[in-house]
Amino acid sequence: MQLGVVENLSYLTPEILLTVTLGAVIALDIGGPKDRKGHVARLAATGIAASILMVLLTAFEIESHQRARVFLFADSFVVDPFSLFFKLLAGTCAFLVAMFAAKTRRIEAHGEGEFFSLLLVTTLGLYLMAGVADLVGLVVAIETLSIPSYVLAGFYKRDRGSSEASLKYVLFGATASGTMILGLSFLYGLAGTTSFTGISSAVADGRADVLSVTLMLGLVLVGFGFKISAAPFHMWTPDVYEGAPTAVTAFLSTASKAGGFAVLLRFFYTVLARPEAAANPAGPWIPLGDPGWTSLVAVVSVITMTIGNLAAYRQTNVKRLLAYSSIAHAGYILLGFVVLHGSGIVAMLFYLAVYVFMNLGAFLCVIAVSEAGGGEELSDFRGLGWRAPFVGVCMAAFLFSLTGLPPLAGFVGKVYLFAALVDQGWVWLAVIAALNSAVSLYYYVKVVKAMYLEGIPRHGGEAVPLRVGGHFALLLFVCLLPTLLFGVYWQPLQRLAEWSVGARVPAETRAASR
Amino acid sequence: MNHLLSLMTFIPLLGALVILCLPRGKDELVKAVAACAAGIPLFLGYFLWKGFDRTTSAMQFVEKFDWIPMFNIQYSMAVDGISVVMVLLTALISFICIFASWEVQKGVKGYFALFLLLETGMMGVFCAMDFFLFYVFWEVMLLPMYFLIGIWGGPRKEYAAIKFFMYTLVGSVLMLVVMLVFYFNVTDPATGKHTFDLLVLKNQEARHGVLLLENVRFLCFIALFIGFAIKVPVFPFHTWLPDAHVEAPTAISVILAGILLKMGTYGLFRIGFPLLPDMANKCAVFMGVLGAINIVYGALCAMAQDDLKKMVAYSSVSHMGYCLLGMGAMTTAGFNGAMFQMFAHGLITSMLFLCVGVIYDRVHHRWISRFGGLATMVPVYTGFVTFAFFASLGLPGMSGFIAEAMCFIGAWQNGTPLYQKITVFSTLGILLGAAFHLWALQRMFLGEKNKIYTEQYHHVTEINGREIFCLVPLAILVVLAGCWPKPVLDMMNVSLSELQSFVHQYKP
Repeated sequence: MQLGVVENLSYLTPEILLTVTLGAVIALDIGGPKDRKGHVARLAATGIAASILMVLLTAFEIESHQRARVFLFADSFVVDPFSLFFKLLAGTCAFLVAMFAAKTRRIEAHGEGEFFSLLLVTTLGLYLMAGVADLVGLVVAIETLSIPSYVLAGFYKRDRGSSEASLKYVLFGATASGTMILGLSFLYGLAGTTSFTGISSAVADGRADVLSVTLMLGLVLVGFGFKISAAPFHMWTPDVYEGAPTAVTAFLSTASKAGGFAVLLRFFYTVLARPEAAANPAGPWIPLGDPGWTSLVAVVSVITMTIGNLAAYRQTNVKRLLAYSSIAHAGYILLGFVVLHGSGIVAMLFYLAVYVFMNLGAFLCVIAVSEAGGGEELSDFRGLGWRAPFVGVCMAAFLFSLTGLPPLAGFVGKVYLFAALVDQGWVWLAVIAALNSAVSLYYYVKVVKAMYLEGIPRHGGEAVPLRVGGHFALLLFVCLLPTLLFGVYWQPLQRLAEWSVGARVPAETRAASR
Repeated sequence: MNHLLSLMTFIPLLGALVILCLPRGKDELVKAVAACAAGIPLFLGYFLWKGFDRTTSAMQFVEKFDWIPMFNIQYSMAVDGISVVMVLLTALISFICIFASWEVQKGVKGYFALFLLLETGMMGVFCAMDFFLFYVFWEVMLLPMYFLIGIWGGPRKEYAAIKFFMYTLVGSVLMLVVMLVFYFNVTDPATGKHTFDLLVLKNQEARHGVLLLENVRFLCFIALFIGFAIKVPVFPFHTWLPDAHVEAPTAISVILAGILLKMGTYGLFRIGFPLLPDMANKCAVFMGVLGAINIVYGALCAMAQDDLKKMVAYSSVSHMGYCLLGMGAMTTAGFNGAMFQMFAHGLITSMLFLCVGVIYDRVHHRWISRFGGLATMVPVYTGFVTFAFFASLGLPGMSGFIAEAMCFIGAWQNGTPLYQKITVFSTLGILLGAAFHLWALQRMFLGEKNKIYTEQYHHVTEINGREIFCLVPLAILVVLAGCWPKPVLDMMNVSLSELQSFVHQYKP
């Protein structure tokens, strides 16, 4: 069915709300009262929370009308469970990051208004990325995310590390985007249309020849690989993550990465594959044109996780260590991508959801420690478990969850990924990934070791307590809860992931929406 | 008592949570809570002992609930003859270890909370009848163990802790992949769904897909075997053991040697053999060879140690070799011997480590060559050590003798000339075992006082009541099981015979 403009907009309430909040934040920053400490942060957080609510409402709307997907603006934008899942994820990340940032003193000093308005733009970009179904829209959405991200990375203006991070990010980002856009333009030339579904049928019909499509794929993968920091496009990650303000790093490593996976999945699983049975996207998929890209992605995934894990060994800066760990995790998540089966996508979504909480939590611990007067080096974490018991326990839980030990959520996520692989016959890949995750224990434990095994107070002596504010403790708890809960009972999250893939929603045929 | 096993498993966890909620500085209260939380499972263990039907190999005390229905993961707890002994042993040794840890000074709350969490993990491993649940418990154990060694351990604790952790984790991720391979290639005939239920997984008819390929099954068995062998530990995967055992605090060494090592052999009995009986037969000789190497090599290493604790640690390597030898024989007597050795060694090695702890607490070193003539200074302690050493070297009348004899008989009954040669070679272990125990005994306790180092131990005090309280129940059980092993053997015999005949069917 063709929707009118107003109906179109009604599906975009989350995005509209974010834009309105953005305007309000800028207005408050420029024209608000002088003594407005914290107002901006509160406004931004409220706006994001409201947009999350709107996402949920849209989800109910779609569910109640039994619509698989709604195409907006001449098929360039789609609202479906998949996009809503990623909006939910991005919104949650943005909300948590906004809450972290609200209590980071240095961000306050550098201008809250700028920070939160930029954060809102990136969030808007992520929302758009979740729903694009068109090449032009794709570019616009990615750049909406990227450009403010570059600025955010260099937010500490006089800090050399931060400026370096920003510059590196811009240079790498621009190159990657340029390469990707080149690929996309070829694709347009081959297919004669910018809509994903249009290109998909061109590929299926054989109108686009295999060699060109493969070449184009390589180019496009550069752009996506950069966003999710997959090898060999991961080089920017450690420097940017280390230099950027920690709140920004947390955002980049979770929300931004999730956004990258959203477009990656949407693009490849619309353009280059379709479900074997149209009504069952949770079942097996068949590749269109050249199926070689699954092997390519498998190799990329192995290299990514191995490089991430090996390089993380020698890091002494916790942020840098977590940066390499996030590279490794991009590798794990890519595993779900290669199996060409709905279970793989479900596993990816599941893992992303879990990963967001544990990784945000880990970075939050870093923020909490440095705000309480510690630092970001491994040596600053010495004896943390004794000095700030709650932060220590949380950090340990997040790190072990990242390692993939039960009964924590990260374990379940990994089991899903490995299960998808084993189910589809990629056992060798599962073995490599499993060994990789065992090996990763070593560097995660380095942090745990610093926190608990070093700096133990001598007998009779008390550790010098590190005072961490209640605000941070609460946020830590918010991240800790899903990390623990989904490790013991994860059925609801699995249902959500399956719903997002469209497992139980009767799919509306595309003809109807034309 | 329908939820007996769940109670035994989760009461320690509850205790851990209670301890975490207690205010700072109430160390005595913490210990009391810990003693209760470990005591209740032991008390419940009595009902398990009474209520266990010794005439059947079926699962008993079954509890089954859907946990994650979409993946068909079940919370399924039960015991049979193979696990019931281990469950009882775990309850007993955990309880004793609470008292062995009484003198812990730093971080008392954390120590006992982690200890109880560890007990939950161990109980769970022995009770779980769902592969997934088994795996979760198996891994849950690692975390507390890492911290217990790493925080409360000796000088090289950090190295030892991470080495233990890494080794075990590498082994267990291999197990994870095998678990998934089984899940996707077995369909429960009753429900038509994939399953993690160990009893269904061993049903050879329910299999399809890659599991029908011999190579895949072989690789699966190797992966499982490595996973379990690391835990046992089987040569050449044993190198974590001397480090971990030596650096761990006394009570944790006891847990490690007394229970954790048995998980490896238990895993083979519970998972390796039933799930892949044909491959188990194929690798049997190989296991026997590794067992023989363990026995002789472990004993030789033990003889070379000057550190008493390290000697005891290597004696564990040697003694676990008997289990392997018995298992590789694929005979009922061999299986029974291996199982009984798991039980006997659990008791004996606990005594040994407790004894080592006693002297270390007083003198703060364990160098055998720096002692001498201790018998005149601490006669009661000397008595206990002598008792433990004799039990360990397999003196008739004590449990170790029965176990080793059964392992050898079982191994001999295997009948093939090669296996008999392996058996004969392994008997060397008895000789070496006697040698290093007696030699250590002589150097430390008999003869003259050490002239150079007398200063270090001239004020050594006699073993105290708490330590005796820990040792006596073990000593009694060692003698009881050595003179009258029937009650214990009766518990496991039916299940093991059933397992043996099951595995035997698939002999090529």
